[in-house]
Amino acid sequence: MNKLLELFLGVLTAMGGFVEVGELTFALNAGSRFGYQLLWVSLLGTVGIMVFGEMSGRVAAVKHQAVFGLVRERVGMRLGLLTLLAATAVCVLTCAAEIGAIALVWNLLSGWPYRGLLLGVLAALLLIAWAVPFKWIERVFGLGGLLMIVFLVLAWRLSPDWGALAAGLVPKPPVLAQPGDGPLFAYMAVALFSSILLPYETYFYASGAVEDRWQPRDVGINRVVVVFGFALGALLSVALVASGHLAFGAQGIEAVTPGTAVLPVGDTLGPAWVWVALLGMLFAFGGAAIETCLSCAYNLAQFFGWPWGKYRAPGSAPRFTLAWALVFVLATAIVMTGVDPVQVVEYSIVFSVVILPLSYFPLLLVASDREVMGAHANGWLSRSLGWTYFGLVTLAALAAIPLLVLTHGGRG
Amino acid sequence: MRTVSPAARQLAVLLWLLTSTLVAYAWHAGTPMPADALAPRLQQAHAFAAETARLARQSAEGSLPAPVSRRHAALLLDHVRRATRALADARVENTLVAHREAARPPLLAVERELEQLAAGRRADRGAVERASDALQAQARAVAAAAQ
Repeated sequence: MNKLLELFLGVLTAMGGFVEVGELTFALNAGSRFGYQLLWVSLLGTVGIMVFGEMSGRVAAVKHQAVFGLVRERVGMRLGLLTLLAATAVCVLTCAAEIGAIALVWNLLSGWPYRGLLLGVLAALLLIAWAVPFKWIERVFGLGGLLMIVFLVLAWRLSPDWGALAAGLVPKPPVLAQPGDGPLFAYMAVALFSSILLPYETYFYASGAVEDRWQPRDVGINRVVVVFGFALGALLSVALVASGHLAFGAQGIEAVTPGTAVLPVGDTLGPAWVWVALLGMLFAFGGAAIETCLSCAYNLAQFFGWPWGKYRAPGSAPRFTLAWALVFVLATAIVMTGVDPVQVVEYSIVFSVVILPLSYFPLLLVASDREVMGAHANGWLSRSLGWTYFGLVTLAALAAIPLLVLTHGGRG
Repeated sequence: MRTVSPAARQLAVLLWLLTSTLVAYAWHAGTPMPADALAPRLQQAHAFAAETARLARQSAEGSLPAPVSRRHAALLLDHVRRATRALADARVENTLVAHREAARPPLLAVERELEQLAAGRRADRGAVERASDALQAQARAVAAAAQ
């Protein structure tokens, strides 16, 4: 019974932690610009995060090692250090965007000034990360993020054309309103794909499995949590694309702040649901801020061999503790400059895809290694999917920066 | 024979990358903006106006909680002001100057109505919708010129 409850909570937590501010804005804007035509990207990205999430959880359960321990071991110091620097930069930027987005949502809830709220968010996050045990952080933010289900209800109530929606799940050449929209379509596809496959999710998931002291017997639980949790999370992503199309497409509105996302909630479900949606965002972005920040500290500690883990007292893992505290401070300093958090997350998501191949390559090698993984090594399905997705993320990584330049930062 | 140390080689590559990036940036900054770069800015200005029109309607109908409506209008106003300033400061090709200038009055109208909404007063929905249409027309004209 206890095991079932664990499983149930794990699935819900994975679902609640699926959406962050980047995915929220990219999914809404993808729907607003291109209707259902990019839905297949959500599906493709979800299977990808399932593949690599499952693999990283399995390796953590069997080898008790998370992603950057493997990076150091398999790709060597030089390339490993480059990957670490890039991953740290991307995680700090993502964390900055999440902190800014929390302050924006808090501003909508309270009316207090944005810059003061940034400091409030920093203080709250430092306190939570210091005092709250890992399991509770995971559960409270994951389950609180479930309030985002309001967007699933919204999409349902907007009465989508189910046939057209289902057709959008199948990749096909796009039908463009203007002939010059091709690069923008490709850019949105890469960005949406990247926003679902954000690398910090794998870093955090694998490190969390080590924190929770998973054993080889937990490999089955890992598979269920990843497949069902992420599949339910993907429903949210699909709902956001559909809502973007139905609520904003005709008028040409683009989500530039989290507040834009709640406009159709008020229109369709009523004003009371706006508060629910805002609270859901607060938990979802809060969870993402903590996950990105801890991921930075996990990566640094695993790479350099420092003692790490939230289960340790801060004094017995001082460099790990200092690392996450500094990341929070640095991320807050970035948004304190007045830079727009949504623009920051757009850039961080596009740069994220560039480091994906470097993060996933060692993971694939270890997960396929029978000498290390024994009976838990990749089977033919995991191996085929793993290498196919490795090819896809490499293609996306090569295309990301040229598309960013070609579309003037995704503006067209 | 004298050899160059690996550190010096790496430093040279880094300096070359830095210099070429700065030169490319300076060249780009000094070039007047072509139609394909101006069109997305006008498109975004139209998106702001369309959102303001929607916010004005929802605010009048009460389908958004009044405090949320006010605060969102204030945040949106900040974005619109930045967009207006960026557009005014943009150096564009001679053929596009008229389009840039034509976008200014509707953007200022959007700013005015957002100020009303942020203060908790009713906005002139007709004025916002006219501004939105005008910005859309400019965005389409410039996008067509970019083809």
